[in-house]
Amino acid sequence: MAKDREIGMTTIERDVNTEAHAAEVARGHRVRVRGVRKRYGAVEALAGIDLDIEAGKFMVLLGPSGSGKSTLIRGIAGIERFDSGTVQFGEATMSDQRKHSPAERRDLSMVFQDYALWPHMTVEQNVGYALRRRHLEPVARRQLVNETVERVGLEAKLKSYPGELSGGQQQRVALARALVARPALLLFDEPLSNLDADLRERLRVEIATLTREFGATALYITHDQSEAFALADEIGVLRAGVLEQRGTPEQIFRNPATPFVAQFTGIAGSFSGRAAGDRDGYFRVRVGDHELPCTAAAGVNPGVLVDLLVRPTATSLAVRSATDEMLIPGIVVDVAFRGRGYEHVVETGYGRLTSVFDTRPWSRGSDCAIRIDPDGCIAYPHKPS
Amino acid sequence: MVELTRVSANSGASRSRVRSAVPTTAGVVGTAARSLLSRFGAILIRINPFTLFWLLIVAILILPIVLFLAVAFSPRLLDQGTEWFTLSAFAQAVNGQLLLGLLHSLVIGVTTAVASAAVGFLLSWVVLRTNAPGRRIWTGVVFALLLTPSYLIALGWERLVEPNGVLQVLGWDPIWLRDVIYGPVGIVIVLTVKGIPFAFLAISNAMRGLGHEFEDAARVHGGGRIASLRIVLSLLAPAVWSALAIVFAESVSDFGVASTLANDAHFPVATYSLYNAVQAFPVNFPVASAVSWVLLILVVLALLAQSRALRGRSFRVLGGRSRPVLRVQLSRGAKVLCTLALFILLVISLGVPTFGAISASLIDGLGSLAGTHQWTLDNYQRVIVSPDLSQPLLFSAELAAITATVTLVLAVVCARLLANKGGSFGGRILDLVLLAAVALPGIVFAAGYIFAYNLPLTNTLGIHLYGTTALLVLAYLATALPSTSRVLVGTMSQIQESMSHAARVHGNGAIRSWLSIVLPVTARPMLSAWLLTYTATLLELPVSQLLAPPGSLPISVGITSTLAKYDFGGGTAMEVLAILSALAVVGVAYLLFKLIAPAGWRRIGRSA
Repeated sequence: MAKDREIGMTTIERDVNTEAHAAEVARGHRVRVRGVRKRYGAVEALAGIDLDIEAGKFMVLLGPSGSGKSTLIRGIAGIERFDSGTVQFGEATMSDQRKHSPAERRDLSMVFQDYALWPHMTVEQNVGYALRRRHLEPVARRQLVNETVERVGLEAKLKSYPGELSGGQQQRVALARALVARPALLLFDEPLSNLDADLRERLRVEIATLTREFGATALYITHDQSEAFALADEIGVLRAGVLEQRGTPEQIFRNPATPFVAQFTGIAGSFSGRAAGDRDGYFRVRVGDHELPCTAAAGVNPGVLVDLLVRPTATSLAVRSATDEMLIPGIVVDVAFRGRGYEHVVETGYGRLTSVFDTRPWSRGSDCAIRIDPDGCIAYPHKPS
Repeated sequence: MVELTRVSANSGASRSRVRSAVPTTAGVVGTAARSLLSRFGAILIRINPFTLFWLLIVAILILPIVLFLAVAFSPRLLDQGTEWFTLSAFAQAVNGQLLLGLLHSLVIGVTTAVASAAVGFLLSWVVLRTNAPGRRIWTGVVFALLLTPSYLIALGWERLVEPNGVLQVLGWDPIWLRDVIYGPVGIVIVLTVKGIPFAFLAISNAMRGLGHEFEDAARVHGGGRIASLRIVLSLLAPAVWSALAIVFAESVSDFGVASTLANDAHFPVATYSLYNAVQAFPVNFPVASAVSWVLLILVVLALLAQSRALRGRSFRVLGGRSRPVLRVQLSRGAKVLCTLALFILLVISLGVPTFGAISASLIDGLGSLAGTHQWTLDNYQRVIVSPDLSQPLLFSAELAAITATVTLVLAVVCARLLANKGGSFGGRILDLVLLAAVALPGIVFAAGYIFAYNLPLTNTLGIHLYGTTALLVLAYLATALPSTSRVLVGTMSQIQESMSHAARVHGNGAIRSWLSIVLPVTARPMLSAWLLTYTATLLELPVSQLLAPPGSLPISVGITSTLAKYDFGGGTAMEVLAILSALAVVGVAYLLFKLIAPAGWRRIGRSA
């Protein structure tokens, strides 16, 4: 089987004649986006975005709806045209002020949020459609389709029509269709958001493993931070048409550059305080009677008002103590069983924290205290809202 | 009967009268208009790549009607008189015979609307809410009625009850029935039959969405049987208003009954006065335009009343989640009564016209004193052999096929523009134009065409289409485009945009993507739209009557003019053959689709 696929690959490589492939044959595209802008009437969807994706890397763009991520991926796909800016795959320019290569000349493929399977074609025909550009012999073509459909576990459904499949199966067909022609760039437009939780996790694993196995460069957009952290080699956080931060999942999580990035990647709550200064290796922030160690973001200087954003993972519950200044006293408002343990909502004198984890439940209304890990507690200069 | 001869004979002669009635000096206006047009064109090129498409829309839908409607106020502007602004055309339109015609139309319209809505309501209730036997055939009957032109229904009645008609030949002289049919009652009956499908569709759609829970809720919360009935009636009220408005608009716009039964009964109605004003000597476009204004205002008022009735309490919000209804189990007596009522309705609506046409076509020498009055197939033989009788059907079939094809292409473009989410400026304008055009009576359309393409201005611009087959096809196109576009909007807005995007992204160019994705998915609705346009155009009357080129008669004009020559057998045989040919085209087209289209294409539109 492995040998057969080798033959399939060489056939493909010999036959490709798209612009993009002429520039870079062997593996994924290196994608280079510079200063792209797009405006819909009065709304600026993209306000000048720069983006680089190394060949073969998995990039996830994370952002809320309306942040411009769909516009960006559609522009990169060639479905829409940017108002300005350039897009390059490898050395080949896909679009700039004068040029706009249509989608079919970019050697890429895409998995859509609504699957976008063609209802008049069987699974086999849907997947095979993407191979038309490769001009394969019928036998090689059928073999490649069968293999790819087998990889997504739908070999029994080859002759079925999309209407006869479940949502998860349909999206697996879409994934097979995207993979079958070994494109140099794979685009994912929120492919999991129409699926329920259990399916979403299983399909996410398939996307992660198959994409890397096929060696394509991948660009994936989502509004779900857990999806982004699980899939990405690198994450970009988009907000209102601007790329707020780029980095590895770890960098984004540990050092979110802006309060927006921190909020969008998950916080338990926030406190207001005044920056005190460095002490014992940590930056200190005065919150009421407490001086909390934390991580300072850029622009936080002693004396300024700050917002402290707390990650859920940085919180833990403890018994109140009059002597320990690090402990913030609170009252348990609600408790929710989460399988591995319990998440609590705690009301403190400075604000409410949610998703405070403990392996044992604390009863509603009981007194407690919260300890906060300085690594998951980030101070930003206060912005009056 | 004598009147009938005047309807369609000598259309060539009246055409030349029209031409001579229009003076031929308008050089200055022509030049000004030309520069205006070119400036308008330049703007269009900048705004929209569909320039040609828009020019066509303007030329076939907007200009003729706007010019024609303008002449009621300003005859001088279009060389039809001396005054720049006057209301004298309106003064004439609301006087004497013309006023009588308008009043007749109004009364007929209201009566027909009420009758159709009542019958439509009862029919919907029986079909959807009871277990009456034979209720299933009514969907088919309703669509057959929808497609049957009103003049064919009227002609069927006439053949049966006229002096020396079928019934008399069969040995019963229906004197009292003749008096009833040849008069306002007969006109109302025919138009009510034509209105029933509209009323049924409007009301049954609402009734279908109305689950039993609304009645149950009324009962559970303490309302009695009467209270729950009132709830249901008020929930259905918007649909009933819709039915009233649509049927009223259809009835006052109708030309088929006006030119046959009403004309033979010497009962003037507005659409026929309008026809006379542009066809009979002396041609009076300003008055025709004024009558059109009044008709148009009636139609618009009705449609406004409808949209007002629908506003805020559209029954659509009730649909979707409502549960299926419980059918009323009728007692044996009620079943018999119901069946009888449905049977009578079937006889009156489809039975009489069908029987009238078929029987008349099988009697030798019907309508004349000559002939044996025996059963015979001679009439069919004559129609097939004689070019005079067979040519109209072939001519109309050819034009209908051309019209349907071009209309389909344009309607797909229109539907695509209309279905665009967000709605571009062009899309909204087009929406408005098409909506207005649907409301426009066919005869007003035809009169607008005669007027606009006969103007000296048009000649100065180098457009010499008047009296040609090309103009007839353009007018057919303009009449068919609005409704065909509406039919396709639903289909086009159901296409997920991402399906075409997926095709592009996976390596196929724009044209190939369209052919491999959009075409297969929309093939069946497109075929249906083509057939709908083909059938409607084949049997179309008002535009054919006014715009037929000299020497070639479309089938509808051929039938009426053959009948006008008292060749009832020949005329009805043509009618039967025309309808059979339409049915055959529909049958063959669907059969071919079933045989040829790939399996995947045929799945679309079927429920999984």
